[in-house]
Amino acid sequence: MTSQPATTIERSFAKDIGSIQEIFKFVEKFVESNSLDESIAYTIRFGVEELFTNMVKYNPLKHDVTIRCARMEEQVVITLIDVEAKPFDITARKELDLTQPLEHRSPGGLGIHLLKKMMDKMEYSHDGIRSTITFTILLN
Amino acid sequence: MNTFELKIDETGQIHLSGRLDASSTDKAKEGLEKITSSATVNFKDLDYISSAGLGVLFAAQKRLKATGHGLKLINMNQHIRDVFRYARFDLVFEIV
Repeated sequence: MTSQPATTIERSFAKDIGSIQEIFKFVEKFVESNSLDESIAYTIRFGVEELFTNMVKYNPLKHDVTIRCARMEEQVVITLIDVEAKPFDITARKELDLTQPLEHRSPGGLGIHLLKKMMDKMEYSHDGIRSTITFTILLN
Repeated sequence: MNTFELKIDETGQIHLSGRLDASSTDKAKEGLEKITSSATVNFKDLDYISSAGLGVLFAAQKRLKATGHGLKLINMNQHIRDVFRYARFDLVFEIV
């Protein structure tokens, strides 16, 4: 049976890199009210920043981005929603070859690679208008 | 409290503090552009780094390696160390 959210907070943020500090404050509020440890807090902060900055970079339309943080019994589920976005399924990106020597490496795509490594689950959907990306972190 | 800072001490060691995120990369770039030879970067007071921060350090390392120099990274916390490991930046930097 799917557990119901015990705590959910949601807010919209201007789609601008300058919103990041406000987003971090929003995440801290969620972390503190749910007594989550620093390891989980780091992972949430990281996931939200990577996904939000991708939305800033790849969808120039200035609609707000909605961020929802939900605490279930044994997991946290974070959702970011961008409207009027072209479909771009980051979960389908192919793996990077990170063993190349320095001169042949570039940092492009690294954020998505790291998200896949750090999150327990990532899901993407596009309903014709909105891109919705959700990541899940297990608490045990 | 978590504002990113980059300081270079009298020995040439670079000290990072706060959070190196997408909103602080300009400050990091500006500081690292002053480095023209091998140097140590002290992460003791750095709480957080994202891929944007990794990109800035990567660009500095690539530039320095082209002239036979490089950055040595010390005193990372466990979360940041994990991010470097997932990015395989242990192959790019000397990490102590």
